Amino acid sequence: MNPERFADVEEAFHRLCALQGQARRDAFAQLEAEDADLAAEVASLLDADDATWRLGDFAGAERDTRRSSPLQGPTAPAEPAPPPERIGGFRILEELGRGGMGVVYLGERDDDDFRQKAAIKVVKRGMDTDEILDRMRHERRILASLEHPNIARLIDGGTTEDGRPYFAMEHIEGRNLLEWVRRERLDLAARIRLFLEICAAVEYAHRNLVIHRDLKPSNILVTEDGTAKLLDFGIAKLLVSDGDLRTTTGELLLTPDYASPEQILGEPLTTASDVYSLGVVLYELLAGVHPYREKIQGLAGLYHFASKVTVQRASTRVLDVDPADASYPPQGSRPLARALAGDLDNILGMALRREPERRYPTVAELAEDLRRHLDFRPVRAHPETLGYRVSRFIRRQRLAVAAAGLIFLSLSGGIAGTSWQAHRASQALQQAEEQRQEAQEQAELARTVNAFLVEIFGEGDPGKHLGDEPTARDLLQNGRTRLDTLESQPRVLAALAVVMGQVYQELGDQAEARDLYGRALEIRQSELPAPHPDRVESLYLLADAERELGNAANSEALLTQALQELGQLPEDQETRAILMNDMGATQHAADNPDSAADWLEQALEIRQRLLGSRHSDTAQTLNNLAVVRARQGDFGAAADLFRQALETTEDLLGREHPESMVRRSNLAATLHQLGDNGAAVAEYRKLVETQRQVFKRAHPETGQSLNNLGFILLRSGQTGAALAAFGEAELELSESLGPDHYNTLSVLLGIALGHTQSDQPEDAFVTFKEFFQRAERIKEQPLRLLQSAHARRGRLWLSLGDHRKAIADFCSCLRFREAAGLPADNRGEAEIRDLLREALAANPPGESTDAEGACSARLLTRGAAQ
Amino acid sequence: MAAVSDSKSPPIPAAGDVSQLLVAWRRGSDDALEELTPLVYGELRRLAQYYMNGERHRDDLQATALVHEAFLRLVHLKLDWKDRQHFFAMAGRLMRRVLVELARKRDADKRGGGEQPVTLAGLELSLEAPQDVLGLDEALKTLQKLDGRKVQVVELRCFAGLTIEETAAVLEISHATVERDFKMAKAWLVRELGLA
Repeated sequence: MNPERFADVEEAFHRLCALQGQARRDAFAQLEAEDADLAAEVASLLDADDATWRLGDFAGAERDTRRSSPLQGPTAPAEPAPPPERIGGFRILEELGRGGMGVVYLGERDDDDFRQKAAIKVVKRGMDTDEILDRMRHERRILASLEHPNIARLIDGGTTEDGRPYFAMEHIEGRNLLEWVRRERLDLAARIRLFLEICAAVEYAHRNLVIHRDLKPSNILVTEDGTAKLLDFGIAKLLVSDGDLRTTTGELLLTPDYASPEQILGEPLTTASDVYSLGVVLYELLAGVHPYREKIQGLAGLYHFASKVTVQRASTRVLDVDPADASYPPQGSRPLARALAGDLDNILGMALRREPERRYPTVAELAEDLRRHLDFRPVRAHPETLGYRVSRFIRRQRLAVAAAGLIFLSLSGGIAGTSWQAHRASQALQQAEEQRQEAQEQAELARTVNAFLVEIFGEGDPGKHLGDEPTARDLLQNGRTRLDTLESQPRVLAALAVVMGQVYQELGDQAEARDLYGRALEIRQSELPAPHPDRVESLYLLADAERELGNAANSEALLTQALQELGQLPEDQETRAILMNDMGATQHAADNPDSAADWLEQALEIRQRLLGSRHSDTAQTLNNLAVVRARQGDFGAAADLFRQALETTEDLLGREHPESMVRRSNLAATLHQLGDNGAAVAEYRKLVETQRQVFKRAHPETGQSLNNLGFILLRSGQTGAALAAFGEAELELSESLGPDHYNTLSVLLGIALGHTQSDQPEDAFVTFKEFFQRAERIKEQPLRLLQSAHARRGRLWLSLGDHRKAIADFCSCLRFREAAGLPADNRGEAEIRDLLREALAANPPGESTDAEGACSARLLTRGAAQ
Repeated sequence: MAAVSDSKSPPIPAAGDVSQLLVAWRRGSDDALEELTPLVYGELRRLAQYYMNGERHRDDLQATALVHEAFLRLVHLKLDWKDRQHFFAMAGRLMRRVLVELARKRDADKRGGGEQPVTLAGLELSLEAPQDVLGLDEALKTLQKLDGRKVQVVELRCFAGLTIEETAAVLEISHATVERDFKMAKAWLVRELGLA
């Protein structure tokens, strides 16, 4: 390169720098056409320029701003200072506003070829501490990474003459969101549509791994043409880095009126925190009032609020306030309350739940529900009922169960009840013309049931549960007592018994569920003529509970009856698939895998045809069939089916959903069975990663996955990696379950085995010792673990030639096996007896104590006698 | 920064009247410049060594902080602003030389001094290893052949810590030109150093 060429490059570089987005891409394309080499040179410089932004560490320059420039003399002018004439390339026109640490000016850039207005944010003089400078740099870095029509764009940045960092943003001429909608008198639907633009911006930021953390109406401006623009990423957080933006003095950087509870409590933040803040904004936008009745005051008030307060329903709240506050179409508090009741109340309720994991997990889902509401489609948000709380609980339980053993495959038929009901509702709507009366009855029934549930579960009324939140069981018990008052309304009674039975079932109380389902079936069979869909429902539900209680024969009989009755009703393939799926589950429980596979294949065929592959019911049947295939020993087919089920579940519910995690766990276990340890390890690693993201802190399930991972690594000879996995498992489990828990102890055994395998007997013995010490502290002796530990240590002693110690361990092992009720005639036990004989033979007879001799003789005969 | 008021700072060696020399230099005395250069250079070097050796530990070595410290040690504050600017104009170039020399020494003698990174104002770079400083120097030499003024801007901005306005005054060019030069130079250096 020569100086002339350099000058050309520089000219093109500056020209392109001044352009953004599409304009820049166009100009670049033109340059490339004219002079490809020059274009390549400029491209690399533009990248470098971007990198200086993104890496954006102003390093020394900003740190040095705390001294006055030596050329200016020792005294810096005191605030308030008149606006500077220029900042960077911008002529300053006026001051737009100032906050705690920064000033925002309106500036204009009059470069050679274009004019541009910008809002220029600069740190106040005297406020340029490391912390604030860090925050400025942080905000700039975040803004530089975002380009979206509903987000104010970053134009430029740098350091002012007197050394303070600044950045220039697209100047938005607009009004605060709430002012705008009031002035324009937008109706509800228009407000929601405007809000959807904000959702799009936040969603975009989330996709770029940025949480805004300070969403509030004053950070949302609406331009004259009605476009919403999101501003102020001042305390936004990059999801990947973990820097917390509490200041060193503990000062909270947030606006309490819009902050999520977890933000106030200083807990880890996720995108759900922005969902909450958006919920508050939406509430204010729709109801015309802020959701909190009282102003939050002081730190104590904040903490109290964050841990206690429940938000009042918007439709109720608008009746309390002066109608002047809600004076937009629909006019008046009452019409507005009616418009808000139902969907919008539910959507707001779901966005404003105190626990982040119970809100909409993403802004996209909040937006989707709002769009559904606008399109008159059913929304996903549901009122906060006990059933919902319980279903979350049961999901957790199921997961725990699934992860508890190395190879555990869950076969679930129980979910079918839900889809049955949903299906019934849509059927009722479809047949509305000819069966209007039936539909009305159904609706009336649904309303009565709903009202009853609301009453017993006290939903949405914070005043009702002062003190401890009642447990699910308390509420159910309460409900059962009230059920008896409904003898005069048998159909309502039956419907309620069904709902409560489901809740009990989800709580894991199958016996209570069976009683309630039985009662419902009895009523329906006497009240309703056969065939009837309600009778079919009751048959199937009772069958489900019977199966879960281990009465496969009863379950099969009930399902057969249900299939017969269904056959007399008009063709209903969806219900048929449910019954077949459940029959498959029942056959599996009855240990008829071949029959189970037949039923499930039929169910799968119908569901794939009717619902498609991307449906949770199809995924359920896929999962069930996979379990059966594994049972039949066809691990290849099982792995394949699990993978399909997993893909669908992940697609529909996300990788972090409990169902997805169970299925991945099943897949990993099956791959291991198949002998594909490499793939199994990969799946367990993914699972662990997801679990860590979901649980945030130490969790038994993460520990269990790590334990499984460790065992597979151990078996495939990767002892070092196995020990690492066990080490992490031990940490997770010790922290979540405690060091003296059965599962934690099981990890210790893995560690001992790892040490044995890697020829470190000393380490192995130390671990065994630790294991036995901890095992003693457990109230109920972990017999199975103890026998296993003694067997393993016995082998180690034997291999080292210490026969006496080996004999003692093998004897203990056999004693614990006996105590645990393990059969004496299995291969494992025969092996231990052989080893014991070997040790006894090698040990000079005089050296063995009599007691040991007697013990061995008895235990050896126990085996021989069988 | 805190070094200015720190009582444990090294004593000033020959407190030769740098201010006087600066005035003389501006009046056209080449002799003054000849006398001035080793004084400033020596002071910068001594300070750099002092911080490098970790006698007073810092996280990194900030070139501009050193220049400012040298300035406060050597020059009367009453001095005319033009003379001050001349001081910084000179100090920027000298600072670059000091850093390069120290880097060579550290590179040759691994025991020499701690491993503090060097920080340059306005350049988003932290030069961790001696080779980084040498690499930057090489890149500046190449840039010198293509556009000498860019190098001057970098020396004034990054090594001496002058603001855009001050740099503009020293080089007698416009504010906007300094900005453009600096932007271009930065991008060019970042690319040459393979940091993009």
